[in-house]
Amino acid sequence: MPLDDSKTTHGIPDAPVGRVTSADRVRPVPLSPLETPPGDASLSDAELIARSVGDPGCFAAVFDRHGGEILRYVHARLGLDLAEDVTAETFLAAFRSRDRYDTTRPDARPWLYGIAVRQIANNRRAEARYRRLLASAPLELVTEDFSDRAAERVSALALRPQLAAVLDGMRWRDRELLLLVAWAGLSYEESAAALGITVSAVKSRLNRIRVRTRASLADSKPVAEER
Amino acid sequence: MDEISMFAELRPAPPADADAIRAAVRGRVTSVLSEADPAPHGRWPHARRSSAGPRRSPVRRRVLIAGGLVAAATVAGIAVPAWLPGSGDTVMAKAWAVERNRSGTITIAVSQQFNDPAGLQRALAANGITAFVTINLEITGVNAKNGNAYSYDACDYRNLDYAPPAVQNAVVSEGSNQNAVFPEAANMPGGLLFNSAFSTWTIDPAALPAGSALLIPAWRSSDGDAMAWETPTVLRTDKLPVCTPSAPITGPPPGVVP
Repeated sequence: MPLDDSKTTHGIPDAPVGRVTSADRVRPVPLSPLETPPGDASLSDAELIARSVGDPGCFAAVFDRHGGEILRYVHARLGLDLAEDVTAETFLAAFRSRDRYDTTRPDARPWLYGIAVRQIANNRRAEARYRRLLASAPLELVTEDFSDRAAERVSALALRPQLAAVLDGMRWRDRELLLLVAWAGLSYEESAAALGITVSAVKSRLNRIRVRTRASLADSKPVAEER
Repeated sequence: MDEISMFAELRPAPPADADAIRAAVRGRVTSVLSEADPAPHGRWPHARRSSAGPRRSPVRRRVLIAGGLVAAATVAGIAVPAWLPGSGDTVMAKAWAVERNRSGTITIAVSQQFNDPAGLQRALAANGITAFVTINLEITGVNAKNGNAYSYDACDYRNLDYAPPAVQNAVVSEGSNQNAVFPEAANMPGGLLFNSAFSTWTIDPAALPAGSALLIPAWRSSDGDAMAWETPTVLRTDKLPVCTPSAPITGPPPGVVP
């Protein structure tokens, strides 16, 4: 329900407006390289996708560049059982619509994440079940032990059940945005493009999420301390 | 501390065999590419099922989850919560609760199985809160032309007469902690599952101006998924707001030029 005045858009603003802070971003965890190089490194994603219209094999390079990242995100959302199938469906859905890709956007990540979000939506029941197990799932070590964010990790771990409950109680569209920023590490502009909303809507929704999360944690803290 | 960063710390670890899974996905994708017509029209290729053997279906996994909880309860000597699939009635059957706190605030707890707007409205009215509890539909589906999933609210509350931001603070807090209302939940195995089934809000009736009302909308997905509750909003009027039907949305995915 659009209580804000968010307007659908399909573009990424040219100017880097409202990028997430370094604290908001998630450092990607590199996977080991594939044997096949990810295409001509001098080509942008947009150029690769444009070439793949006439030469479908070029699309493999798009997978090589972003497949690991999308797989990691899908796995975080749906768990192991569905990660492979949904990641494959994501790239095949992208492949099927490659001739409609907006080639003015060199980076295909927001486009791929947008498709992944829809593929995840096709599995919402499984997603909901997996999400409710989040409090006990093994976590990724996003923060190095001696970094400035180690304290945040300690706090997050202490509040894990409460945070998981807050995440579970969110509206679907708020949760999708939050996890694109928090787990996929997309910027505000990239998240806006992935979800088809404006950057201002991203900002207002994230701010709303912050306020509500703060209130929920304050509300549940005494219980957490009792346990 | 930034709340978004805290959620980032909750990201599940990647699978131990991530490289193998990625290689398997790549094989499935490239096998389709090699057979694809250069022009992306006509019959669209779809992902083939994994050749790595049968995977557990979501249904199978649900049974495993339930079974795990039953086993845990048996070991702990605790009664199995009756909300597990196929079980009888319980506190969950009521699906909502209203409790007045010592401070004069009201705590509301609603489950995702909620189906009694009139009952909840009456209970709130008895505690001095005029409320409109609505269950609306969120329509989900798949675009038959391009196979993309979509979802949108079947109706939209337009031009709501919102009370000023300061008055919105009458909604003191929200969360998923229903232990104050259902203390027995704290002792149940799989507590998170139980907790996460609820949304709770604490309302300060004294902060609600005369003639105002609380709008508490819930959105039930048309695919049968759990209900999503929206944070209550204070309206300046006690007239029932109209939820205007939305135009169907089946548009292209973002990033695709129509």
